[in-house]
Amino acid sequence: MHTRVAIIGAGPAGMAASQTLAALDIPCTILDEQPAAGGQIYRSVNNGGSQLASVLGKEYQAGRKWVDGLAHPDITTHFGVSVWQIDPDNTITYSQADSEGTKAHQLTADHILLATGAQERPFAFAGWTLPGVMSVGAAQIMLKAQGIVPENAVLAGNGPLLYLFASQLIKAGYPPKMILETWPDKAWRNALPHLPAAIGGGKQYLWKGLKMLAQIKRAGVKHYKGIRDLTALGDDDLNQVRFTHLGKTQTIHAQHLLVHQGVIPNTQFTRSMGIEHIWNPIQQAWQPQADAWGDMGEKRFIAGDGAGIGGAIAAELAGQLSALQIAHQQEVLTEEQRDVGAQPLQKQLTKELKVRSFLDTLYAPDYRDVLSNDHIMVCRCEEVSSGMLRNHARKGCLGLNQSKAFSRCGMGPCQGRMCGLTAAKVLADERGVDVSEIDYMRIRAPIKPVTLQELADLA
Amino acid sequence: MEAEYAIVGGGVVGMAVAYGLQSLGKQVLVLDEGDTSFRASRGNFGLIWVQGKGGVKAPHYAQWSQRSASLWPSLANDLQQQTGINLHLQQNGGFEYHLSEDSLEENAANYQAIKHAVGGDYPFEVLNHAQLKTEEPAIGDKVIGAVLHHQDGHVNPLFLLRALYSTFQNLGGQLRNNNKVVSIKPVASGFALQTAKSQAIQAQKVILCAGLGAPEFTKSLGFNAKVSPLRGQNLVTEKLPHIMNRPSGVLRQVNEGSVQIGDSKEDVGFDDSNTLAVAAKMAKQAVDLFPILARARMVRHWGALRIMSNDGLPIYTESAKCPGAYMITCHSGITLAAAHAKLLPLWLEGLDDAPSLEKFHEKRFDVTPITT
Amino acid sequence: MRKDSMLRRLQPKSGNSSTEPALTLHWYDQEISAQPNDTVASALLLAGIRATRKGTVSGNSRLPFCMMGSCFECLIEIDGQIVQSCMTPAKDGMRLSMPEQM
Repeated sequence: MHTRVAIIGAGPAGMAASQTLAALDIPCTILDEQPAAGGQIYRSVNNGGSQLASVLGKEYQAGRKWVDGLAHPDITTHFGVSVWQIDPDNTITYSQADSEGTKAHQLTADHILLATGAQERPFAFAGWTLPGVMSVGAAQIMLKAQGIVPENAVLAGNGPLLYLFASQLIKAGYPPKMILETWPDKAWRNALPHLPAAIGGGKQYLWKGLKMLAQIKRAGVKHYKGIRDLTALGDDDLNQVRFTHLGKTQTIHAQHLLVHQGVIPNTQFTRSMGIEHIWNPIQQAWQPQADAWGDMGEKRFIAGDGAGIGGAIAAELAGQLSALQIAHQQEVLTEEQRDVGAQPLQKQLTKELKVRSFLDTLYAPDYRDVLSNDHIMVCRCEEVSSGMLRNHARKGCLGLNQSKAFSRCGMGPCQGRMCGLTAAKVLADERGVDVSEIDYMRIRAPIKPVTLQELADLA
Repeated sequence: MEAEYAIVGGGVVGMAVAYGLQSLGKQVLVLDEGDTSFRASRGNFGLIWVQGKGGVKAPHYAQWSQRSASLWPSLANDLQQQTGINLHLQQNGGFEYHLSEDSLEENAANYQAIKHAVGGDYPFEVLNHAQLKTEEPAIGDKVIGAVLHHQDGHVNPLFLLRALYSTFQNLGGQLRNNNKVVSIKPVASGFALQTAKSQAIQAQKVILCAGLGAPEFTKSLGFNAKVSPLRGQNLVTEKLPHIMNRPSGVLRQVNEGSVQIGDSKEDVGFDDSNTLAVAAKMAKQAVDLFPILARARMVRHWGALRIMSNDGLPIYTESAKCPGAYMITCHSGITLAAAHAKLLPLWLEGLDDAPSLEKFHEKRFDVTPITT
Repeated sequence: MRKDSMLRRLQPKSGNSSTEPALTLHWYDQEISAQPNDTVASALLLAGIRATRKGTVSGNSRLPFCMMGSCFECLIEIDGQIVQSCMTPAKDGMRLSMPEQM
């Protein structure tokens, strides 16, 4: 099977790109592992009942038009497929379930656009593996896709998604029991210089944020700012949450603790493809090296949060820009035609991103607890603690590959998604260097597990 | 004089020798490259393998492997005493599986010849399918039989490396990571080494244990031996319930439960990427051998560059041009770890009970012209 | 679990037959009801199950964490195959259990 443009991911970036390509009569194929389009931010946007619309808000509903736009003869979609390998010649190998089980398939493409999005930043704290601790994103997915809400949930961490979900829970009639907000050291001092740009380009986001905060306050949700030593407690099941605020330790009952400290690019694919990654010090995450079109070289592009966190609108704009450059590289558009189409998009994208540095610094993650407590589990899969990582670092493990070999951190099924960033922070702290100097672990395909039978069938 | 021995290379070969020397009371300094260097030691299978080594042409290699295998329990015990790390050593034999009568017969005949060449101590048996099934209940119907060699086994290779790192430093050995050696020069009192971080080190003797990483020094220090990269790919499954009782040359179940699938030997230069074609072939073979693996999921697939000399045998050699400079390199770093830790230091120090390693000297690679 | 700390499915404002439980899953001896838009994970969580697998090192209980296929905490065995339950749509009659370990 062959396609001119393969798009991995049917979130905002992927959907927008496909529709720009289709408008130029360039056929494309979208592969997504979810059962329907929308990615995470617009998850189930065409499935939810009308009651969810009022809970989830109108920005969410904006995703509908993109999903509807997929019904175009030039756009082929494959849902429920798990892409696990992308070769240097742009051959894509993926698994798809049919009546007989899962089978591996291959698709070649002239161009590949990765629109694989973000994941939540792993937020390691004492007791975070207890049943009952979930990410805020996870709870929001259950709300969007299944209409399920937790009663009396405690929310902990920081970032716009935390406030958004709190307000969605309030609208749904199940306000959170408490919000425990972590503040990075010197948050306002670091963020203030970025405020003018944020006001210049992102007033609507700032307003929205303030409105959500006001709504949370009106609902009477207890809201502690600047908590430390977040601890989930319970005998093999979450029962209590403990934290320190202004020097005082408090313990409260909870069976649902939802945590969040921002989102980071999902780099599993790009790393497995051998692409260089650079450390973004404002976003405190690695992102793949790409130009302003999202071009990573060798006819591979990246757009959306997978390239660097920017949000849904920025992702849609970036997807369209990548599509224009792909169209130019496929000689469907001249440079001039491409630029005419790109110019308004670039202008809008620049404006859209103006709020980012302010949000990224104000809501930076707080790593102080995991860096001062040796007993926090950094690698959930293989149960490796921060203390164990420090020990190995002292014995000579300078980067994540050696750490992995000695501690098994990163060898579990999640392939470092939940531990890599935290482990890098711990190693950097132990070695006294910037985290950008820590060699990340080698990520290789398959980036999702594949049965041996599926593999054997390809022989 | 910073050290009596400077060892270039902190992989399983370098560390085993370093540990052995430090245990003898010598002052050892190990210099190792960085986190992303090729590191054959992260790409091994963990086998302590005697069968098939050497063949009739090199029974001394078979015997050297046997000697190391017999010393392994002592090594594992010492390391566990010293570091508390259990290496999960298991030495109750290993299989070579066969899907055809012809290959089984050929294998048996080959081992019979080796047995003769080593003087009789080569305990192996040939099992037919029914006999094999009592040893390995999960074995597939396509497997017509196997050769079982009783001196084979396996160990957790990463725990070995970790234990060596730990005990070596606890004994007072020095390990400098992320410190690639850029030059080695003979000087009056021994050798002067320079590192990429501009460190200058003086040592009485220097040992190259750098695997693929030191071709630039082999010539300058007067060595002629050459090693080449040989890529081996591996598949690792998720953790599974107990399936296999013994390891085989292509398949083993690790103490944690995951199954490791190997056996590719690819001559592809310095390319350590993994390829789908090889993975598919190895998966098919694994499923043929143990059909229950069909539903097991591969969670990791890696390629590693391993080391191969021209004849596949280890190289243990002192430089004629620069006495005091040694080269120690091999393909089977795990099997030979015990010999490297316990016997090579005796040879390096010229002690009485040192093993005779003449046949592993690099002069065996010298081309002798045929006189007519 | 406390009665005020459950997971709840939002009921539609108007009577709507699509919210009738349409599927039955089997978690060991327990029958779990589910709807067509459930994943196996969401159905198990809604039913109040508080352990769907055991950590492979210490055996501590685990539940799905990220619900988007990243964390692999949600691995369970469905009809003999180990899969991520958060990525698996619920289907009537599925037999579910914890993944078997060594």
